[in-house]
Amino acid sequence: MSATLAIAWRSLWRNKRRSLLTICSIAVGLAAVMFGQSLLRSFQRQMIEKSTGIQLGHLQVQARSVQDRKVPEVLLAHPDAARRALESDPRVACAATRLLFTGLVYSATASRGVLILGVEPEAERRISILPGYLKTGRYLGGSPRDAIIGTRLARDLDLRLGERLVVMAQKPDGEMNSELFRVAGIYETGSTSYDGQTVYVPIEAARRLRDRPGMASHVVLRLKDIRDIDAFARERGSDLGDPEAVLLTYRSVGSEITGIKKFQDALLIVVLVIIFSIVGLGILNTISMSFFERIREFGVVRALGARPGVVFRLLLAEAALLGASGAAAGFAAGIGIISLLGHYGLELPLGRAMSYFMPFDNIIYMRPMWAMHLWSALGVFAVSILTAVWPALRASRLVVSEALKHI
Amino acid sequence: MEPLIQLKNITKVYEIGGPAMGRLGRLRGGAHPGLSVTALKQLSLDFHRGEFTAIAGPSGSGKSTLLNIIGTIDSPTRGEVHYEGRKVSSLREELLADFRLRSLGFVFQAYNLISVLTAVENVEYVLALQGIGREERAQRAREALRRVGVEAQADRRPDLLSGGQQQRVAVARAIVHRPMVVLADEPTANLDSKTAEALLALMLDLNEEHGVTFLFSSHDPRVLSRAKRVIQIHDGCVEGEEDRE
Repeated sequence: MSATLAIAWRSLWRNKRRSLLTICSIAVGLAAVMFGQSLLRSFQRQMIEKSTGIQLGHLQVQARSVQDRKVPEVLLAHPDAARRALESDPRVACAATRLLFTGLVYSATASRGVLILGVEPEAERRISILPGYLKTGRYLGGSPRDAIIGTRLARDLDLRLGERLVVMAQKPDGEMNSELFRVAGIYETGSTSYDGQTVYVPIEAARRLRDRPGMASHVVLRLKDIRDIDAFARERGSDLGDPEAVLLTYRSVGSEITGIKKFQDALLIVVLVIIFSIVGLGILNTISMSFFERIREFGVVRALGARPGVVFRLLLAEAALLGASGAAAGFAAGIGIISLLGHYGLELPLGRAMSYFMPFDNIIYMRPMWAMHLWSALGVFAVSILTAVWPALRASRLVVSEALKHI
Repeated sequence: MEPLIQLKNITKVYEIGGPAMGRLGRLRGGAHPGLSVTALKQLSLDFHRGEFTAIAGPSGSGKSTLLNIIGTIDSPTRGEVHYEGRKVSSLREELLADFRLRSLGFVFQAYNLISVLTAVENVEYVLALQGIGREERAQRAREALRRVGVEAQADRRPDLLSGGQQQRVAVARAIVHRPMVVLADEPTANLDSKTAEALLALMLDLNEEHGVTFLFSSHDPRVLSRAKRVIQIHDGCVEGEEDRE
């Protein structure tokens, strides 16, 4: 250890309580930042997993001229061409063709306006998490007239397993068409909008209903690794085998997901700035006190022949040691808390705020976000050093003869 | 023989109150620029290698100011300081620091050891600033402590040493890098008479046996009686000089 570091380290412990309090405040600040980062990212991860798993997929092929990307009003005339072109890519885990439209559903006692999703049962089992939410019955695929509905819709229409329902939708010529289905399964995602408003039927039945043979509203792709979506969209977007088709990421289709994520990230930055400012003020206070208490000592060091830069570095080294100790303690505490909450989960007091839009578990299992946490720890360390620059500059510019007279 | 140190027409004026006082004076309708105190007036002196010289005078006579200017930790308002013919009083701060580090040793009235370092580390610190390696500086620091008689206390921190021991450590720190001159500002003022006598004997021994040049200030007649040359200062002027060799 160099002489400067030795003096810096030992100087920190001249006032143990003050240094320990400063280290604790840095540690608590960093742990809080890490907790916030992990909480938001774990929250966002679930939000993305659920929304891509149940509806959006990682990527979608839609008609270029679609206005409403959530419920495409323009259909793909040749969805199989795009699907074949993309499915062979080794990054693709699975693909499915869907036909989504609005319609009416009738039971013997009531009717409701719903979203009707025509799906390929086998492909859908691999691409969608919906089969996992089945409460009673089975998934599509047993009969071409199977339908899956949510618990809320079943209650509203007074429908039970095996009972009949009629789905009505408009054909291209404006005529209404209807098909008879039987309730093969009832799911419960916990989401008000899904459980009360979506009916799943086989895609061929849906095409018949709308008189759109071979057509689809979109092709959904699930990649083996979600991190590949941007590269995939960039590389394969112009290679769809259909000039009228366009390849979109889930962020483009579900723009509200991106909006929520951006809002949360902005909040996190505000919290980060507040906490970093508090950490900075703590360090500034400690180093300033250290400076005022040791003016005479700095005068001695300068008289002995130390250049101004030596004194400057001495105080910066003290701040760096404080910052490093606090960052190390905070990092350990943060990882400890996150690991604990990753194991036991953290129940968020969200009520049904999130699950109105999509299936969402209010218990979050937090995961460490290593890169973000490391950057935050480095940020705390950098803030520690930066806030010490002013007192260090003052110390280095002391007039030696006056500093020696300081009591 | 060229003097080791030459002071040429040194004048030192302190502005007390400074700009704030000046502003106050102007606000009151006057042209008062602040209070000026002349600590040294047109002072010229030569010092030679191997001297054991005391600068004597009552409190406020300018002894400390003179030592500070010789030690380059304060600058003269007018005049020049030369070391071995080289003008140092106009050097910039970094070069002055380097000069002090290589060429000067300091002993302060209040010892001024770095409280978080042990005795040997305090002595080593000057060598560390010079960039000397750990082993060599430890060896030289212990040798310096041995020479001043506090080797047994080498690993103690200053708060566990007596005043006399601390001042001996300060002397070891001042001589460890073999400076041209050791400047000591009232080195015995905080010591009892017996300890002061022992410290003075040590300084004299270092001067006679090892050729260390000492310039020190004091107003204690017992200390002054041991000096080989005494320069009397009063009101910033040399009032008298006595060479006893």
